[in-house]
Amino acid sequence: MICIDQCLILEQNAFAEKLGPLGFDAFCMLVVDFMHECELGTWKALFTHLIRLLYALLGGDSLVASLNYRFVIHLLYIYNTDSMKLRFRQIPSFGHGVIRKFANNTSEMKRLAA
Amino acid sequence: MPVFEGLFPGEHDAIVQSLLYNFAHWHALAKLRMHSETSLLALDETFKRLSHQLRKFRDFMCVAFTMMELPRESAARERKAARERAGLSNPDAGSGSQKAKKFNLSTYKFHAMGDYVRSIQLFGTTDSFTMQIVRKSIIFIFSRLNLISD
Repeated sequence: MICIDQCLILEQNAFAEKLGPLGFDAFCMLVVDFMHECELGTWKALFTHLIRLLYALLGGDSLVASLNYRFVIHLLYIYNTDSMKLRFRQIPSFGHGVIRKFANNTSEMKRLAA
Repeated sequence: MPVFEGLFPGEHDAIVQSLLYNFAHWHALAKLRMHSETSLLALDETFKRLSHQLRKFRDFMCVAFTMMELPRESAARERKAARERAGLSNPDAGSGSQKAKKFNLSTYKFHAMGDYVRSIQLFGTTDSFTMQIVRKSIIFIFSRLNLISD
């Protein structure tokens, strides 16, 4: 049964079939997922929308360009590299996902590291 | 939040700054690896402020401007349309226009942000059940097997 108005879709799954008769609600054991829900979910949605806003403003392209530039400067400051030269693409990745190569263009949001 | 400072005009700048600050504050608190009653209380208070700011952002700023798709979003949509046209063998010129986009707060992910305090109380801190651990180990295993280069 599908209630289109409220996006309610009734489904039976293995947890409900096996544990339901015992009086256990499977939803009690579901936890929130910080990476997918917030960092790549709500935060990314907000960030995307802020960039849409910038594009909507007068001279949006140059505003987005200055945002990208500031991100680069900010990252260089954090990782204390040679800040006079914008060589941030050449910073080697370190360990298993500890420091990753930085995206060339922040506003395009490619290779987002959580 | 110096990265966004001064990019938005006038009073909108203050709204964005305050929103970003609250989001960062909430994010930092939610990511803590040790919690006490006090820190959970702070997390709850921060979320109240954050949700207020998010609604303010949606109701005041998003009404003032008409937001369009990002260039990559419209490009992706056109690629998809082109693929579907190819399937229909009825090639039609792409519109090249950008669709208007609204900020949508009515999603599960935004709704679930309010449940973090309860989750932490029940199951422990968020680092113990985030998908990040799984994702990192999968990347590690796959890179050992030389299946992917990342």
